[in-house]
Amino acid sequence: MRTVLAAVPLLVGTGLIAVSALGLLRLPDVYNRMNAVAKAASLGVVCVLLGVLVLVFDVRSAVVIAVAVGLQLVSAPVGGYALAVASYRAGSPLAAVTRFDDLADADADADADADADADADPDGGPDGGPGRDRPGGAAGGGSTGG
Amino acid sequence: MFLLDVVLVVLALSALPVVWRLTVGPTDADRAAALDLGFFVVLAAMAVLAARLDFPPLLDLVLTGTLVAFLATVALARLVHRRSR
Repeated sequence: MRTVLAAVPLLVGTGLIAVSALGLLRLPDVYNRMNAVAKAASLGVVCVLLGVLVLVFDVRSAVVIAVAVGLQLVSAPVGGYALAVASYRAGSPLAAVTRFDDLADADADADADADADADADPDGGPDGGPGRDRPGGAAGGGSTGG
Repeated sequence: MFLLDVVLVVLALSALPVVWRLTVGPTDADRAAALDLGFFVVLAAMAVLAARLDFPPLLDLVLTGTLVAFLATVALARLVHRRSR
């Protein structure tokens, strides 16, 4: 009985991870692949953890798995979002089927800010790198809010 | 535990696209995404092994690995961003 109860989340989670791996193989550009990894795979890990919890049920494992599931659900979308924004700002090409690019305007503004900063700070060098990163990050956060 | 063996085999098969994308990924962002999925596959396999071997302390390793995967993803995002300039 317990095995049957555990089989459902285990198989669902494993299927989600397999679909995510298939998406990593087949999807056309970086952002679609990131989408597959950040959502399907993290949900798959959560489902596998819940299935394992049904199989080995004691209090200590339940606490550890609950914390792991919570951290997974909180941290995986944040990591995927950070990676997608970083790859957008790194200039990864969009797929040919992309129809809307809402980040384009915000990115142009951020580049303008970065250029203004670079002009204001002529010595450049290693000091220029983090200084140029910061206005870009602020503009990116503002654009998602708006 | 036939079920857990099947799950482990499927997880091992879904690690193959990760390796392929890590080697031939056109950009660094593709490699970072592949590494993210690789972390998830390893975490799921570790959790299944904790039930398969009846060794619950492996679940602590899953908890730690979740944090390490998040930090690695954020660090890789910084790296992808930095190397583009």
